[in-house]
Amino acid sequence: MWLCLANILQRKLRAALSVLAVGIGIAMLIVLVSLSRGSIAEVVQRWSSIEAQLWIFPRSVDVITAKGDYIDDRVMEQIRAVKVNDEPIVSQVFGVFKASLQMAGQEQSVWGIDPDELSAVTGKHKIVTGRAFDADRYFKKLVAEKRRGRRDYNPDSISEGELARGLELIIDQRLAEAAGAKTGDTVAMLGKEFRIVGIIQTGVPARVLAPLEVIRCIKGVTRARSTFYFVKIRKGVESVAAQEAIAQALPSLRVERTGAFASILGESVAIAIIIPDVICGISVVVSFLFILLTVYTMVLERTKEIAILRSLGASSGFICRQVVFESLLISIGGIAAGTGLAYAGKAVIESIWPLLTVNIRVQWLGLAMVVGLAGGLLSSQIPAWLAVRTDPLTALNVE
Amino acid sequence: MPKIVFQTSGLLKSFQMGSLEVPVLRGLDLEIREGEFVAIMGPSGCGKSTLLHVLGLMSSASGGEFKAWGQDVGRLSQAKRTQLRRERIAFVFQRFNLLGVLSAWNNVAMALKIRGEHPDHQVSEALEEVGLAEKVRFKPGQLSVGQQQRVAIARALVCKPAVLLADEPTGSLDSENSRTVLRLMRRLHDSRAEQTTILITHNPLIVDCADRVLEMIDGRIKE
Repeated sequence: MWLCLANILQRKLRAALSVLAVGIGIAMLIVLVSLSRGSIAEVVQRWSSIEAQLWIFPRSVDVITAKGDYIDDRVMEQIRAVKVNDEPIVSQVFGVFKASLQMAGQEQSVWGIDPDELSAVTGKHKIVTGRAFDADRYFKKLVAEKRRGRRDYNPDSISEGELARGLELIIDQRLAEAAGAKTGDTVAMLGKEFRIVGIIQTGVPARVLAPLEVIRCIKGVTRARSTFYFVKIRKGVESVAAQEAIAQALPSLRVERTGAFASILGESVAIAIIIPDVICGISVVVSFLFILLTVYTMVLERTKEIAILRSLGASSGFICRQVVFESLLISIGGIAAGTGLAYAGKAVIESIWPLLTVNIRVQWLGLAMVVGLAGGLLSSQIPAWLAVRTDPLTALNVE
Repeated sequence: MPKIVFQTSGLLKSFQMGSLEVPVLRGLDLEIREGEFVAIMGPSGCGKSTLLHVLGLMSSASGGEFKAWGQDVGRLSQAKRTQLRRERIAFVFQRFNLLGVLSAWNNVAMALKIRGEHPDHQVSEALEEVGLAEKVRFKPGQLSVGQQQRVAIARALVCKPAVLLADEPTGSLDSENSRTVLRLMRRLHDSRAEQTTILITHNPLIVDCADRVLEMIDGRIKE
């Protein structure tokens, strides 16, 4: 123990660089894993506020970007009509029309929602400042009037003045803090200036919510269409049975349980997880090659010391333990430095990109510790083998 | 009659230099008994150090017979020889071979640690015995050559070895320090009744210290 410590302290700069190299690898591991998994977990957590059991979308739609075909809202009637054992199973269906806007330095997903369905999306989350959008249903009624029972209407028939009354949205608290936004502020979206009329508690599935018909109108959608639908099932109906029945009735659409969102998202962003994982793996391997090189150099430099220990009767096991212990000390230092760097990295990332979630969990720290110790152990094997093979007589005669 | 510690008969040791085999020990016969203080003298290259390394189980003989404490060393495994060296043999080298990164105290304590013993008062006692009680915290680089050799002697003796092997222990010292070290080694030898000391030297002062002086020429002990 003293010898290992003394040897490390003898070459402080080299030891510090080795610790730093391992620390960087460990920090990258912790931060990238915490960022990729943390971001997904945060989105999944937000989705849990949706008070619907099924999620229906076109097979062509990309789950992340929501780019693809829109579905004609007539499908809602078909969904409502689905029965199991001759019993209706659906209590509520509502569509979401997705758009996006640039806010707090990144693209934000905007969900266009019917104001009457807002509570089904926001769940228990309350509007903390301001009010809901299209509170008096002015714009909803306006579009309904324009349609007059027809499926199509001409969005151009709505004047700028009429549209201006509908340009409202609500954002969640986290986005408001990140963007420094408050009620009354305006935000540009789809070439229009929207007013922020309300700020809702963080935890709703989309950070920005806007009136469904306003988004459709600006996008020039003549016929009622949606990006996806949520279905609330009647009490007592099994969600799996309902899912199967709707999927059978609507074979061109994908029907998923909202509870399965985590795995669907996981599949969709698999590549986004694999890439950081690969980067982590490479950085960890490079870090430990650095340890290997450091310990290997230490062994080469200290053949005489090893020979002295041999002359004192040190067994191969004793010599081996010295090398391994030294490597582990560097690893432990690297783990400690890496953990510190990871928290510093989290602080930096969250200050630059406040909407990114770096959720450093105990299990990632545990993983980093295991990887660090295992890497230190593995990195010491070649130098330890070399140390054991050192010929003491040759080494003792070298000055 | 004291027990025989080392016994060699027709001991051979040669080194391979490329395709050439260079014989160093050429049928050496030797018997050393418990408690003896034996000096081995001889010209450079006659094989003194090689003999010491073979006796100290640091190197294997190429042929002949070598018994240590009655055991045929040729039949012992590497691990067993290491164990025997650890438990019964200590070295003092010409160039001290101290661990430069450790203090005098830790250098001495290392010998005990390797034996699995917890270093305690015996380390300070050993350093006190060689007159370095005040230098326990000093690293080798902060000590004079004479003091470094005394630390090496303390390290060798702290484990109370059955055999102390010293390879030119005064080779790097001036005459004053040489005299001090030789006297110290003799005194320490006398204070340990069963310790055997084998010392290789060119130093003529040894004649006054040793019980027996053997002369080595061309890989053999001169009769």
